[in-house]
Amino acid sequence: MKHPFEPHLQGHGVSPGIVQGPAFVLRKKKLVQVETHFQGVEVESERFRLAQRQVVNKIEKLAAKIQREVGSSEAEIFEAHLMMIQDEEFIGGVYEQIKAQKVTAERASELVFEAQIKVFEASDSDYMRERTLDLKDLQGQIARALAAEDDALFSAIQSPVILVAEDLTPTQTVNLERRNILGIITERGGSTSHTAILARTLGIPAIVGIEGACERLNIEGEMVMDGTDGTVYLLKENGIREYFFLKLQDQAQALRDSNQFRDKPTLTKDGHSVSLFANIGRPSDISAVTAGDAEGVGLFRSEFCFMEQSSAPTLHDQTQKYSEVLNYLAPKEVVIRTLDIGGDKPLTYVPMPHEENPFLGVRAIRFCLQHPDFFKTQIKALLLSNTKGNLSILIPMVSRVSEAKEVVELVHQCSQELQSHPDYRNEKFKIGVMVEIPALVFELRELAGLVSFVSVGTNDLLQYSVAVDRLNPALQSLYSPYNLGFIRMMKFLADEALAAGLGLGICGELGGNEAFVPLWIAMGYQKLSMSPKQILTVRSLISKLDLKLCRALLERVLCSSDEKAVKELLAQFVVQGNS
Amino acid sequence: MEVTLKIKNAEGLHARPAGIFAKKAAEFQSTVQISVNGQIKNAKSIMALMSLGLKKDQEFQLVVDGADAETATTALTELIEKEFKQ
Repeated sequence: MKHPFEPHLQGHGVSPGIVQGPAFVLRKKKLVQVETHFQGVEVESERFRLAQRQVVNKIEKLAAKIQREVGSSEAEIFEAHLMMIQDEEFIGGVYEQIKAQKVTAERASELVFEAQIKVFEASDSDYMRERTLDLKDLQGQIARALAAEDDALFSAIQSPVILVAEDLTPTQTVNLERRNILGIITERGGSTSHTAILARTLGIPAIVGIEGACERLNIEGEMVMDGTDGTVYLLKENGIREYFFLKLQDQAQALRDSNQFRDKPTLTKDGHSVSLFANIGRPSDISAVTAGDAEGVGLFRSEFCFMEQSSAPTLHDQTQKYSEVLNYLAPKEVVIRTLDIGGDKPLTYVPMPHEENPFLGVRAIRFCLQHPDFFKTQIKALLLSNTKGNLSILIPMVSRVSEAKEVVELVHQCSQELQSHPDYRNEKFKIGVMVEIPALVFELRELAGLVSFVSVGTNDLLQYSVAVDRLNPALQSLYSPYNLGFIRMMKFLADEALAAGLGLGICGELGGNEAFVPLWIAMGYQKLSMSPKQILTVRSLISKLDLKLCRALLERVLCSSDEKAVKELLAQFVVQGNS
Repeated sequence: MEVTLKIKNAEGLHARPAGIFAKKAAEFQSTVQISVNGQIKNAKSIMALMSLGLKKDQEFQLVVDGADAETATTALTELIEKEFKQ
């Protein structure tokens, strides 16, 4: 469905929908990356300078308030804090680390604080050892100030806009919801970047990979973007405004149509049933789950609970967050994925050594098994929050059966340790593994009896299968789900899992991709998990499908000659299915 | 310029006196250092001072070097001798 106009700009559409509005360009020089990337000595130094100043102002205000309301001796501790945070050796040390180690402001201040904390801890004076608490307090304040600078940026947005940026960090993206964001356009990122995933969850149309977007969209007046095909139009040309006015009306109509499928089971024309689940990232997304009419949560990415923190969340914190989701949605099943950090998702408060290749490094379950205490806290929080028996635990990045075994044993150990805990209800729960590493596809039979289900993380499975960095825009054309080898692997995977008696689902982005849905149904995938906004649309699509025709399509796809042929077959099928 | 001084206050050179001392020291152009037990620290830094963990009755050398060394030494000595007494 191409628009009959030459687009002003073309990128990759990663979250569907057409929107119209003015652009708000997040300036490059202002754009700050929170956790991940070192942006050069000058940028990092400036970020630290601003954060340090912000903390100084905050403490000064606090000290004055305490002085006024409580008395000067109580204000003393804040005066000491002020002196510490303005200490020339401390400040100089951070700048030095930024320069010498080429690290972010976060990392540099962490390094300096930690060195100082070590000195205080080694002291033979109790008083001095207690002062490490003050240092930790200050460290947290600096970290929060560095993270919150984004908040200040977004507060500049006062009316609905299309946000244009070079790139958005996960922290920036999670802050989007509350803002007036009609759509998102970024220069970098791929279809599985956090911006893309979150935009889909929030139902915000998004386009990535438009080089020079910040420069070229820095214009007055309204524009239109289509997150489905990745095109951007200016409303200057004749007829464009009228054309899109009608398009926006169609879009609203289609939304009303899919609403007919609310509260209905998901069935093909010939009565084959499929379950549609939602992927979410935060407890606050539960409203989207019910609004989207999901049958449960197929993937709750627990790392977002960890990412919005400046220190490791406690057992209590985590239990509260998981309970919120589990209790609210009960008796619907909620699949919670254990912490998946590393790679593109580092945490500020967990030391992670630099890796040449983080996607092949210590991430997800590998990290968790190396930090068993940290991991056990999460498992215990999960078990404690399972008061209604609707919990499923999903283990990410499993590369071999022995890893799954190790986790299952750890979970049982945690359950044993919780037996005397007053809040532990000992309700039933399920354990499943994510299939996202190709080698595991060939060990599925051995998983039988150990875990009860597998869920395919198509984003990473595809990335590792075709050896393409999914975040590299230069390789986007090679990161293609139409890859014949990949599709055959998905078929083999389904056969093996079903033969082993394992529950079988998809929680990657392809689960809700309309072109692929007929294939997944034909292969025998029982549970498709997707952004909540897609569910009604997919249910409507499935109601028009016929299982026998889907199987015939699968046969033809499996023996087609190449990627292009696959793409054509799937495109044709969707058109026919809808007619 | 170098003088030997002794900590007089009961709690030693803890956060608040260390802060006041560092602030005072920073008012001068001269480099101000404290030398104790073979450690030499920048006296313009509260963190450095605190990490020395100086206790009551402990002796240390105040080493000041620069154009205003004399005024600095006087001012800082006065601070240690007269201000920090409680």
